[in-house]
Amino acid sequence: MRFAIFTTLSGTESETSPVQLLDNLREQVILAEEMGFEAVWLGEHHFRPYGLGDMPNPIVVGADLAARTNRIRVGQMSNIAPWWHPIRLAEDLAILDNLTKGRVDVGFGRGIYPYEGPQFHQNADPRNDQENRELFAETIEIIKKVWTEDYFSHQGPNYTFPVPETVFSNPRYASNPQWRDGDRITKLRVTPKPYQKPHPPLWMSVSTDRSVSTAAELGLMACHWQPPPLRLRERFQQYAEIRSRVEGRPFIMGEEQAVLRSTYLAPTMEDARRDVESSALSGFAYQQSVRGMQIFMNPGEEPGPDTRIDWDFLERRNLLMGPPDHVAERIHELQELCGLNYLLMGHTHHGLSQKSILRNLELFGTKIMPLFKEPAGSAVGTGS
Amino acid sequence: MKFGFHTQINNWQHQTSHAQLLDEIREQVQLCEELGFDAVWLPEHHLNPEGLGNSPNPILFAADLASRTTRIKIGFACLTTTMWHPLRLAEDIALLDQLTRGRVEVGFGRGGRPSDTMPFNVKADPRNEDTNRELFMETIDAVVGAWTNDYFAHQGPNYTFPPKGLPHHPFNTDEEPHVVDDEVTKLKLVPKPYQDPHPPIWMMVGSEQTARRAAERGYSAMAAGTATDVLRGFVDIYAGIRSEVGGREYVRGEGWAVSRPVHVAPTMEEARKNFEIPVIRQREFQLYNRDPGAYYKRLYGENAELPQGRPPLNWETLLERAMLAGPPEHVVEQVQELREVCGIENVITFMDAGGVPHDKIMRSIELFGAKVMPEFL
Repeated sequence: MRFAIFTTLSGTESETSPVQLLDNLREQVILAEEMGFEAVWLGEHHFRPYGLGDMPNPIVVGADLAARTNRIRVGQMSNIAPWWHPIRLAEDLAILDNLTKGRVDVGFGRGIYPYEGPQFHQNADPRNDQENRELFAETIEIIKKVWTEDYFSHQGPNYTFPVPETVFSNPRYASNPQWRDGDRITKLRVTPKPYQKPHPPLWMSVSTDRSVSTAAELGLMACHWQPPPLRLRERFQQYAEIRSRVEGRPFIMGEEQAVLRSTYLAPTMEDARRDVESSALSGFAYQQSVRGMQIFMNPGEEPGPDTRIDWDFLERRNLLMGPPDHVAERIHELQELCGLNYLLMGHTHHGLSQKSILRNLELFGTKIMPLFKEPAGSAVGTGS
Repeated sequence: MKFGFHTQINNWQHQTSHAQLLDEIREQVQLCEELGFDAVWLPEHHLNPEGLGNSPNPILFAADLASRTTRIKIGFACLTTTMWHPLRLAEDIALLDQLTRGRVEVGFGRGGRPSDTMPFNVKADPRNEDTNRELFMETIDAVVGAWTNDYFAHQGPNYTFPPKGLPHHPFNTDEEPHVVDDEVTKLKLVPKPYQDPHPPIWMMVGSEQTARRAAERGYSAMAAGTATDVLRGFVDIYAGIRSEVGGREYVRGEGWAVSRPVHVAPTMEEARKNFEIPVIRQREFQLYNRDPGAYYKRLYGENAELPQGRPPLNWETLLERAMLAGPPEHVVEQVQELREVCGIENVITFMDAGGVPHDKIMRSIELFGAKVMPEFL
């Protein structure tokens, strides 16, 4: 079983200064490396419409964290692809991959909240589902071309590269048919290329059936956003079926898939509730306001008039919280039911002190991870 | 006096792996910090087929370098402002300023090669000077507005923030004063820069017009590739306007930094052997990037006419007008001249012209730091 940590830089007291938040994150990541977590995944959020997620560019923060650690991988879950100029995103990720000598994992998302995307691209508004999906797929297509083709060109509904009829005359540049036809630019050469060949592992964050299909069709690994166990099983199956069909080889349950879980370990369930219940509830309530309640429910469950997102609802469906033996049992259940082999632990919670966050990581590293160590050579779905 | 180290992250014909190149520059910057350089300056360059300027986002390398050093400032000379989405530019710089606890200085430039800028924004094509300048100033305004207002809005010829029809998010209560008919009218940039009100801003100045613009706005000015006597004109114009606008006397050279190609070696012969081919090649590429006539005037003065055929960019001309090279005692004299003629108190040394071996750059830094800088500190 593989374990990673995940945060949007929102996990401490809201009055904490950005400098302190970043120092706290550094301390968390250094401890996570020591505990043997495979990766730290960071989310992208802009303009703080809700007091959370002060991290407009997880790639910049990744460069800092990687320089202060030796082994832990730095990932983004997710770069919101439609919010980026595709060449810039490809460049930034390639730079980070070179700075870290290949420690980058890349996650792409489509964006959830209409508040953020329209600032960056008119088609990035998730309310315009079709345009947003088209822009998402086109952006990823361009990024892959930029990384894998020495000289590239692209023509699509949102972007054309190079800009048609770009003429540039500089006698110092040798006549090179790979990118010039006389003074007309025919292709672009983007450097540096990623350190990992052909490029870093690619993920997509998914929370709907449609996104699961998109990830499988595009050949992106899938990270599922906190669905309950039976829903996760259904999605894992769906993904494995589509990828098997698209790529013409069998994908087993859990292969190239992961799940994100809000996780908090404390000596007792009462301690856990006291420390993080209100934060967990408000986080899910916030997401529900945009995504609906359904995505946090199991297949066959329908929200009734009295259904409320409270501790009892979430604890058995969407959280990994409580004393270590309880949490271990829940992870074991996901392993048995879904073939889960990669867990992203949402390790920070709004309002939680740095001390409790560090204890959470340490308890997870010392009490949970050793229980899921696999004998050498038995790992599946390494995702590389 | 202050001294900076300017790298272009050059990798001529991609002869070195990018990861190796980054390791070499890390070593150069660490040496600069040890020797007391004030700042390292990083460029932004995209889509360079020949390997000159492999630095599409210097903010990332800056985050890495800052983590590996403790004191040296990280400046940008420069960020190609017109190629950025203004909010992303404001966010990335602010984030870096927080990561480094305020070690950031920002140079804004309009863009060099048309083929680089156009894929990012067709209006960034520097050959259409009016459109490009308008986009340039608007982007700076939007960035500074986002940094300095708790909540901000911007409307200009190129950008409207927030866009029309942005829905209010009911969870965000402190935005409520700015919500009109359930539509958001102002945005909050998070995080803000660490430095209050924001990192020092530099404008890249290569013409009288830009010198005026920088002075009117109260921004610092940085010249690169401008000959000392031409620079003197810019510096005087700048001092005059800043004195008027700023309400106090600005002395000649105040608010300025000058970037010069630099190579220090034990003898002039050796300096020439190491540096002549790379520096002339790099200058010639630059000459044709935008407007050869304008570049030529910066090197030879406003009245100079670009000659037909191959223009005389050669070692002697550069050494006389716009380059610091040779043994330490010669470079000391050259810095002295720059200081006397233009009042320059901040000299930025550009040592990696592309194809200069790492060990030669390291020795040049060492000689500059040990034998030149102490004469001025």
